Amino acid sequence: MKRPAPSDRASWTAIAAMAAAASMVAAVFLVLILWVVWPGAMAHAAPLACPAGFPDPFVLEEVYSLPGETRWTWSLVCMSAHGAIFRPGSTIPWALGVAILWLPCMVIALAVVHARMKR
Amino acid sequence: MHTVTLARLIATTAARLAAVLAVPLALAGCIGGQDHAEIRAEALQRGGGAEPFLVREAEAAVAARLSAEPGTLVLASISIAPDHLALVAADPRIPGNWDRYRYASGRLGEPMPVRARPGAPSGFRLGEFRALDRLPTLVADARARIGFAEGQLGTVEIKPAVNAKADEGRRPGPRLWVRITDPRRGTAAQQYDAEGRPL
Repeated sequence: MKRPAPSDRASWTAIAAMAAAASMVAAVFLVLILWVVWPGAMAHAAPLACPAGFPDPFVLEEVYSLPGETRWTWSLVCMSAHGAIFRPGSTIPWALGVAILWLPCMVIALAVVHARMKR
Repeated sequence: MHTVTLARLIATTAARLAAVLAVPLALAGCIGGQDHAEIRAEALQRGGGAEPFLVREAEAAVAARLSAEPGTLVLASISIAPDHLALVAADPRIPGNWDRYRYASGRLGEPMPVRARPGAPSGFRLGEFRALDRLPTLVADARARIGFAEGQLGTVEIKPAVNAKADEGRRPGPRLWVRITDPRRGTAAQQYDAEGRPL
């Protein structure tokens, strides 16, 4: 079996690194788009983000209006059976969203690059 | 293949992918978010956060902050709201000092000093309120007893009897107060003793 030349290995490492970085950026943008268009998707992070006793997820939409500026924020809220509210913050839903979308983005990016290089 | 060309290719692919995936998301519509009032209304409908496990958790957190054993703290009141609990507890290290603690989303806030009023009823320990496990049932019962058609749960509070003299001869121990507010009829309160019996 022929080992790849050092220059080939180096270029493939560079391709993989760039694909990883680009697909990470794509995943972050996708999560942003996802939250703007479908904030309710954040509720899918509930099994990881909500602690025991708070099984029901809601997505809280807050609008802040300042002179010349309107800001929307979305955050996950977990509710217990008797109405206690737990706010786990946005880090876990963010990280989960990016992690889920990162791998498919990277696979697609690498597949496209591979296909183009074969031509 | 040149590195710059590759980078451009990967960036273009990622952008196209994002654009393609954005279409079904856009078609799905802007759904899923609820404003604060809607979530609060749902929480109040369910029982306003009257969770026994949360009350115990909050008391244990305050006890840990004061280096005391859970269940030994002397409390002046426990106020329950959907998004937080407020406990007024005596500092076991400095007799006569009472502080208010806010417990929300698993985090305990900094203590706020509370001015002790002369003649204020003495505190209680959490274990003295033996109906704690029935808290959600009692809140639902108070709602049914008060019977306001458009009533919304107001405050849920565990505290000693307000007027100890008037309460003389009645059952001792802390009380549960459940207040229901109705936009047409005002506010009504239902009281329960430490065993969960209506007063």
